[in-house]
Amino acid sequence: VSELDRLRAEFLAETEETLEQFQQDVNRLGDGAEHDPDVLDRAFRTAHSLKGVCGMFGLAEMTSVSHALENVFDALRAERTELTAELLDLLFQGIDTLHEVLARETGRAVNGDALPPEELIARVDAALAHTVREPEGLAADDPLPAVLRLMSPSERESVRAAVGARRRVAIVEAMFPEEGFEDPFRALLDSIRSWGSVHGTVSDPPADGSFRLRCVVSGTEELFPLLKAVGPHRAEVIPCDAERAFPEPAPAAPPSLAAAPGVPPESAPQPARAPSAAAREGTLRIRVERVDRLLSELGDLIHAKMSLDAAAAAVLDLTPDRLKRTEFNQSLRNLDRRIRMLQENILRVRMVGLRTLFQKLERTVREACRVTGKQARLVTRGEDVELDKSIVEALTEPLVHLVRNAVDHGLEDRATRVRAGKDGVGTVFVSASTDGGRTTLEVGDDGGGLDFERILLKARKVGLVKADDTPPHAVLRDLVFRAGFTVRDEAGELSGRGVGLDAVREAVADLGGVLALEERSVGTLVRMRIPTTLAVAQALRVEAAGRPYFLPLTSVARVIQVAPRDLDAADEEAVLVLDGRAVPVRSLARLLGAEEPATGGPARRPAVVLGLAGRRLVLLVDRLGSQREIVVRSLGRALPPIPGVAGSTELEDGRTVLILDPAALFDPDPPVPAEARS
Amino acid sequence: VTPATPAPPEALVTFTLAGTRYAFAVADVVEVTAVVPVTPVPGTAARLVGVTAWRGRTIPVLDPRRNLKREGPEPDVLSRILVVGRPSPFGVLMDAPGRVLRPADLRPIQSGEPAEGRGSVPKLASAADGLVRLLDPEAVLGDVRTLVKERR
Repeated sequence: VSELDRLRAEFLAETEETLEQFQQDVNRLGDGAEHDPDVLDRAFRTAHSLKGVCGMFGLAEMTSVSHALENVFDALRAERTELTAELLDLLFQGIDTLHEVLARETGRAVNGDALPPEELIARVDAALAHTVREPEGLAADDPLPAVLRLMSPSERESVRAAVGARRRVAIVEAMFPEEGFEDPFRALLDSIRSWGSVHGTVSDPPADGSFRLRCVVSGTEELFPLLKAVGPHRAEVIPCDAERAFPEPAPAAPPSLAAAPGVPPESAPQPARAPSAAAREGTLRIRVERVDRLLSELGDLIHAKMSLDAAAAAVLDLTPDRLKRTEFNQSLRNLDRRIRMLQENILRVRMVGLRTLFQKLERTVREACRVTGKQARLVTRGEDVELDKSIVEALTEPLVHLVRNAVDHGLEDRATRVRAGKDGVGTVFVSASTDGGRTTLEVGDDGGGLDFERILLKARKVGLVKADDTPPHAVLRDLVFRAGFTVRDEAGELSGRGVGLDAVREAVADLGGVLALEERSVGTLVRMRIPTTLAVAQALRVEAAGRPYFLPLTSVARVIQVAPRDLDAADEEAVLVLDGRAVPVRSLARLLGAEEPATGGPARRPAVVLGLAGRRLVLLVDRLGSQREIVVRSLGRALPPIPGVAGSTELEDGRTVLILDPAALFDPDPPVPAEARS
Repeated sequence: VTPATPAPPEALVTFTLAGTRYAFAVADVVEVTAVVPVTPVPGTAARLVGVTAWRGRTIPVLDPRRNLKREGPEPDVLSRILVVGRPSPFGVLMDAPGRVLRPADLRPIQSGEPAEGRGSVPKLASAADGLVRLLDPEAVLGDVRTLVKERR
């Protein structure tokens, strides 16, 4: 790996964080901070710096998109345009596009939802073309007002302070070559500082290998001509009417802002500060693979400890000295504790907070309001709850869907709410809490609640419920999770296609979690219980077709013994009546494509009752093993995802055992017979 | 076999599998393991013998004979494997490791395409003690998507 490749990989990893900060700033602009110069400046600098570094690494698409976004912020901070809904939407879409290009560059899966870069850029250009207005009322020959608008608030304040101190203000304009501008630039600054102060610099985008730089300077007027003599050739001094630019008297400026000779320029053309630099203080960026590697090593340590336990038991049985046995056992327990602490600490490294995900939901609410014309606010709680990085990634889409659903289906429009005596602005709330091993996530709203009458009507219409049947609310509630079911007659931009809640439930189930829809006195609540970490799991060992497998304990409802006479048949499938419900029965050996063991007669067979997202399945196995903690490993990067296999773990004897994916056992592919393996 | 222009060969790590001698270029080999248990994975192509634990991770184990349309082993065997391939290593089934052949020991019989950044690797070479069939890790791994049986 070359140095450039390494730098590029580091930059791409950092860009994830940059985009998160970017998203946060655009969220704030959308929340009414569109005139906040700090936010605008930071967003501009982020776009500007992203553009520069992307260009350096040859990331042409990201460079062009960043440039388009930079143009928007530039127009906004120069007050040449207002932040219209269209521009705000384009800023969000631009971040999406950057995310997608970044994902492609880092070899991650791309969902293809974002606008392609060229379309995004065309839309931004078109939007700017009809919203940007040329500055009015400025003296044509005085560039100061335009330049001041491009400076940071603190820079502007230092100019104001200089005006208050009766110093003359000028703009020194010079052209610099793109390559090797540093020395002439430093020479210019040195010459200015010898007679006055530099308050800030503003540069134009480079063209034909050079760029124009304008420094706002202050000093005594008689020294201006001297500058011409000592500065680089092509430098021009333009005296400005600063009093016109600052008609108000200067507020008492803090001493640090007062213009004085020797004050270093605050905005020399340097890369924009990394937006999250402050947030990263005291933190260390670690590649996920390295943490996973540590985890794997830990897995080996746990396995070695298990082997030691087994060997120790055999040796201790032969040791007559009771005291020594006790001491040895205490040492083993101590080692166990230490390993457990090490495991907890390593797992903690993979944990990330929910803050970024919750910020994304703010945008979801805003967009849903724009589409539906409703008014809503998002209230979040538990941003600091931490989950394994992979779980947070897997939860993002389901949560976005639930929040969008809450606005679209849950909340009423303003008029209806006001008529019902509610606040015209609805509330969508998202909260997270954890009890350590499992985390509860709730998405709710203060809307009208589930419309069971409408659900029933629709269910009857599509034949899910008989015309004369009125099932209880619990059954109707379950219908909204059926694939393809929707109460809407027509699909809208946000929902109504009946695609979504079933996918949400599946995604939560994939994480080993459960999801429930609850009725409340006001509104609706979706509650999810998910594991906090995926890397270590409790699992049940089973055997089928002569081989061991593990089933995640989160999907195991109970274990039973089943005799052939207990089984009934329904729709050509064996079923077992459990708690008054017919539950399908499948043989794990057959699902794995192996032959059934010859049972011969009424022998009872062990079985596992799996429960997943409200569904149940009786899984016949050859033998039930014990429940234990396993270290979950992937099947390796050289293999594609294998249906039915969630991962692997290692036994203390070094054997690899597959961890089955319970969701795939519910909806399996046809078994692959052993003889077809060719 | 048509003799072709001999190319400068690299040192080779040889191994035997079901009586045939194979080899990988020494730069492709990460490790020769002791006997390891290999766990078969249901629903996968037969050339994937299974998976095994190696240096704290799980790696697939492939049978190069399956690519060559020859008979494969019984799954779930205790096998020796040669770990090859970077950055995603995988195991290749073998019966026994052989000796390392230096360029001087080899006479290329059939030339292969030059690999990027390397000299040409002959597909078949002759050593003093017989023929060696040369393997390329990427060709043995093949299209990983075909390791999973198609859903029907």
